Amino acid sequence: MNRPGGGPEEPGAGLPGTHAAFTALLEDSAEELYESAPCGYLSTLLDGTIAKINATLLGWLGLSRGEVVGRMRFSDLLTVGGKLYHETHFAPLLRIQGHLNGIALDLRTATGSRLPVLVTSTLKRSQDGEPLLIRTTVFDATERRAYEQELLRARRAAEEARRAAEEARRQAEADRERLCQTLAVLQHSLLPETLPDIPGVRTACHYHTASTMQLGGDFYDLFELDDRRTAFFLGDVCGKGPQAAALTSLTRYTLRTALLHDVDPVANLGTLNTVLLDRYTGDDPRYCTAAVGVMERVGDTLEVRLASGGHPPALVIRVDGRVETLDTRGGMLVGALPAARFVPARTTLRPGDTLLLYTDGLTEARVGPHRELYGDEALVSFAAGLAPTGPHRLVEALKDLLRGFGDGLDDDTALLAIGLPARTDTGPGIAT
Amino acid sequence: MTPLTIKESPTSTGIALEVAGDLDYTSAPQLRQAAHTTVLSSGRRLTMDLGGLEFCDSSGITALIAVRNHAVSAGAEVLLVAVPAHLRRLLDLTGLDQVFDMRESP
Repeated sequence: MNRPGGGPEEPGAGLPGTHAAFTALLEDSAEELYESAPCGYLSTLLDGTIAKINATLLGWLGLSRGEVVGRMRFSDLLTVGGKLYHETHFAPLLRIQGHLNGIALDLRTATGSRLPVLVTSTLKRSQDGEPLLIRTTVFDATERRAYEQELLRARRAAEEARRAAEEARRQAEADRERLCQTLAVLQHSLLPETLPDIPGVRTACHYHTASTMQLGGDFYDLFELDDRRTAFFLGDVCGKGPQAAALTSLTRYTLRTALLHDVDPVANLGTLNTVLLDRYTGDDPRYCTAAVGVMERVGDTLEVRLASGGHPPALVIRVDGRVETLDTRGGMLVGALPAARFVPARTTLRPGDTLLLYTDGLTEARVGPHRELYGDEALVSFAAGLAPTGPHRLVEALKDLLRGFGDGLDDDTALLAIGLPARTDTGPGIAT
Repeated sequence: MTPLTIKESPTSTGIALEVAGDLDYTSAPQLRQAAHTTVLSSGRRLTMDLGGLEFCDSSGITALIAVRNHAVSAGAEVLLVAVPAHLRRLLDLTGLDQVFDMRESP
């Protein structure tokens, strides 16, 4: 600042208009400043009797000086609650500390209304330390109190909102949990609880669910037809969710019923095809891929007849480590086309051999950094590497394999393995 | 994710649909809708050029079957052109290679 003529002795002298203002301020008497201050002033004797009070405070209270000075105590100006607080806390503390700052109290005005204030008091002592009187300033805290109440209300509202959000989140979690449980129950209703024990035959199965929030579309079943024969099937319906589950249910029970009447797997797929075509129209085709089989005990072998409709080929893992692919190429999707063709295959399982049915979640999984298709060949090599194996060991190894796919496996996957225990030197039925 | 695009154009034998992008659960209804609004008459041919198809899952297969059903019910025939290898594999596996006429180029 290098304003000419300006200086600390003449504040604002360089600015027109301010000079007059400063002059007026300097002429303001101490008395005037006291009386008309923007806050209330009062001085009381040690017993609280009001000795001096300014006009501002009198104005707030709606009282005259004559009514107050020498006649009222400070506590008489307070509400009942304030009076109590003053007697029990304010006055004793002031006597001990000599000073109290910004205490919130309510004044009672002449009209009976309540005036929230902030009170600061100082104990004036004589030179030898004897308390003489109490000086008090009173600030109107109406705005501040309203602001505080507003803050409090806002905080309560925020807490309420937080509680509501928390409750909603808890509810959503509970709903989700209930839905997951419902879906799990439904999913289980589409699959056999356990596979039945077939004397002399080993079986194992596994269902991998890609999402607990989504009903899967894979299915399998295995059940005895009579003393010698057992039927089984495994498949994959198109789509996911409730519609897929309804289709799965229809498919499963159609196949079960059809197999009880006719042991020809090709005929069974034909029946399923008719049922699905009848149920779902041309604009909304719904189909499945399925492998259906019937196995019959003949001596110490199992004669297996199966048929496929658009389903990945079944594998036979021989006891000597060879892996055969049961060629059912040309079998068509079931339920999509009136003139669908289904392709049969036969095989004989001898002790130590294992038949594997699977859905394409396994072979369509993506592996490696380039997310390449796992594929049929990799599965054949994997199975060959396990031989000699049995249904249980095979399914366990495949479960490990599926786990290893991580997020490369984004589809449901069903596995069903059937085998005869290997002949061993130590006795029958040890290896599975 | 590549959005599915379908371009329709007339051909000397009927109508061509050029289908490109991802044909999956979300986009499959789009193809069904496109085929449905296509006016086909008996003896004409619906040519679907799939050269730009980058992905197709079972929902996509369902849509292709629905399109075929629509065409067949109108007495028209369906021809798939430039079928990508991944889709070809799916069609072979599901026996649909016996149902769809397929050609390398139109």
